[in-house]
Amino acid sequence: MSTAISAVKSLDQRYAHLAYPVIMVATGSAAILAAGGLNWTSGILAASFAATGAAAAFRLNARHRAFRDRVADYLRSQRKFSEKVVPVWTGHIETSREQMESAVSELTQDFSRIVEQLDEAVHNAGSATGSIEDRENGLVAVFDHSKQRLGEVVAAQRMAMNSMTTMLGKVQGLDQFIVELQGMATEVAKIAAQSNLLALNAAIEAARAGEMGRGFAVVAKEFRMLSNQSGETGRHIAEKVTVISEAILSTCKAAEESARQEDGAMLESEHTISAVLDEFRAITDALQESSRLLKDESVGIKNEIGQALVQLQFQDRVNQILTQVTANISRMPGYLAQNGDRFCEGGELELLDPEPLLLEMKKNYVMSDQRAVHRGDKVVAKDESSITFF
Amino acid sequence: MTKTIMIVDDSASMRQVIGIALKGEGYTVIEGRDGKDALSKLTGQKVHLIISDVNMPVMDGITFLKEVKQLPNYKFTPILMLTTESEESKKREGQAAGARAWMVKPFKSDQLLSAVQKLCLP
Repeated sequence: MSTAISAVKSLDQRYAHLAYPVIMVATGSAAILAAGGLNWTSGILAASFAATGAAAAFRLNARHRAFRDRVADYLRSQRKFSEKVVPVWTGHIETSREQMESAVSELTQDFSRIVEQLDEAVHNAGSATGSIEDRENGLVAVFDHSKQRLGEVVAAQRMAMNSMTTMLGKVQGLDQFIVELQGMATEVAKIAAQSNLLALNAAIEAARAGEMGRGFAVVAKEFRMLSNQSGETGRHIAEKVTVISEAILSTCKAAEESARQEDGAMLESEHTISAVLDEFRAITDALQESSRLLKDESVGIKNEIGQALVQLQFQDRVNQILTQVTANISRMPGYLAQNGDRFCEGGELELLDPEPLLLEMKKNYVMSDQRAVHRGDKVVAKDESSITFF
Repeated sequence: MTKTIMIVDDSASMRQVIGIALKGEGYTVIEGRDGKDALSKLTGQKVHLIISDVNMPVMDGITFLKEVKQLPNYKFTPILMLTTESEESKKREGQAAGARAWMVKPFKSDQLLSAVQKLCLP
């Protein structure tokens, strides 16, 4: 029933343009017959009028059909146009979207690898710092231990030096005994001289006593010889004491020179050790500092890359928008086809209404930005994400 | 013990961005490219938190959320929806389906990590 009604409506619409000419011809023919009455003349005039009207209606119908065909051709061309152009447009958008997604994905992977390498660098820097700063086996601990041991070596050398100085002092103390020995040698020489003088007096007295003093003269002679020997021995002792004294003085002088040189060498050693330890300390400090710096810089770069990665989220938003734009553009051929079909079926040329398409687009939006653009509002960039806990 | 977090997003770069932020804090990460893929990967796993996008092909985030809540092992697993969608009606839909939080992209790492820590609390 509905199909029949639709067919009648379609028929009505298809031949509606003939209604006025037909009515005019019928009315004119009727008027001629009414005015002239039913006779041959009126009949021929009415028939001629009707024939002329029918010919005009036929021409009008032909023109109307030609016009309809041109409109239908136009609508078909519009449909073909959209069917050919829309896939190219959507293809370009889709290709661009895929290329962007692929590039951003690769960029993200590269950043991801850099972050992993930085993590490793930070870990290694931490280990290096740990190996330097470790209380038991770290470089600083080795340095402190070495410093302590070198200090002990220097202290031992200083102690040996002090012992040598003490010994040298004792050797120099022998001078006093040498003076005493020289005094004793002088005393022996003096005793020998006095004994000689005594022996000489004894010999004089023995000579004066004559025969009675001969024995005594022998004793006096021997005593004189003994005193001479004592004097000689005293001189020998004095000579030996002088030699020993000179030897001691020479030894002390050499020992003092040696001690002075030792002292200088030891001071130089202390300075050298101190300088080496300072250099070593500077190296360990520099190592610690560079290790710490590497760690800090690595952490800083990692954070910056993290921020850059966050910025790459634009791709997700753009991706969603482009996907929807592609889907919406793809709907165009369908809309145009429907419009053409309706004209071909009913002969009614409908205006394109954007509202259904806009409504459909609005339903599928996923972001506030899309809704803002749809309303014609300006999109405001947001720095902070919002979070809602339920 | 290291906590395991599942990331469900159809964008590979988004999964990577989220993964980098989480791995940097020591979390173990499992990825799903849509709801269906994620459901298949949940079997035999102990996941402490799920972070899911909403608009995805094959199976969208809300449907995935409802499916997860049907699984006995994941009935009480917290789910954070991380999406570009900011409509209140969608949020309410997510809340009704069992989501614990709704975060709108783009996110900052510290914001995400703060939310993850809060949701991962025993």
